[in-house]
Amino acid sequence: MSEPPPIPSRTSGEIAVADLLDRVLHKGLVLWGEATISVAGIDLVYLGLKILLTSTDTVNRMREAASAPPDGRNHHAG
Amino acid sequence: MLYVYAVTADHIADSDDLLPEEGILPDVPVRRFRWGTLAAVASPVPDTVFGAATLPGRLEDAPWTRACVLAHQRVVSALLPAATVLPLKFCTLFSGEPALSAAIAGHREALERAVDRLRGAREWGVKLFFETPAPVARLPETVGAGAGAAFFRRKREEQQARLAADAALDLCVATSHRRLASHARAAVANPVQPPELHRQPAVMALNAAYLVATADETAWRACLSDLERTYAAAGARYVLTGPWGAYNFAGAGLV
Repeated sequence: MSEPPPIPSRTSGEIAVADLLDRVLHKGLVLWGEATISVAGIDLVYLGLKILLTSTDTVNRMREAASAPPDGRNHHAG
Repeated sequence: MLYVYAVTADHIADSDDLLPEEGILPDVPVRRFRWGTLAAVASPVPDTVFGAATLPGRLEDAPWTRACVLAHQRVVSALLPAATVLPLKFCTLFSGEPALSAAIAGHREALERAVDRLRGAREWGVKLFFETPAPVARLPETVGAGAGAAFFRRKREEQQARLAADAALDLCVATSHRRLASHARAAVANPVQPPELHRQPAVMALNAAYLVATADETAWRACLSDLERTYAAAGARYVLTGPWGAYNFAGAGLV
């Protein structure tokens, strides 16, 4: 697989945070199996995240995570 | 039990060496489980945290949930350079390897079709904002005879200006999405976000995601730049995010 050269994306912090939440919480493959107990009440999570997004500290941390390089290995939950 | 981040395929030779060290919780390892060409990337997690009885309560702890969402995203992003990745929805949990194995086997054909759709492409997000228009400049109020007629004429002119602006905006949004989609393998226009979420001093008019083949990325980016030049004067501002795991395109046709 030949990787194309990285293209810098023009991403502002808040936008990337909202994008991240949209994707991780609302999108993605749903792999239903016999023993799956995937959380159905995702709205509950979303509500909680909307509340916590009002915190400046949260936004800063989300921005840091969202702007991490694609390999993501330079950042750790602190 | 197992917390599963993604189903993967087309692994490069040393892809297991590229697995992140830190999983959904700071102290859980990230492992790849293989079944022929398909694999799943997962972490063993304690029932006392992710069990059905305790998880809903845990998710109400906002800082904890926030850390988990970020951790999920970090793992998925780390996988992107080394495989074709089908990101799973947040909090996909299995009782153990046998249950996960059965789910993969039960969905193998659909998963392989999804891998075919996503192979060699990356997801990008584009949001289109229009700067909040400045208030319409008002002429000094006319007084005396003819004031009523002038008032209604001004109202009518303002309304016509608004309608024209709305039509121009709609055309810009439709044209932007159509042109970006024409350079993409797949496209989706998601609901626009409320101001509390996007936190921009502008109106969001398009919230789209595009699955772009890596070979077409240059042309797709050139298209975006062209749109920016064309509509800048109209107050349009495009915000690009990505590349993402193909969250918006992994699920179609499977469920």
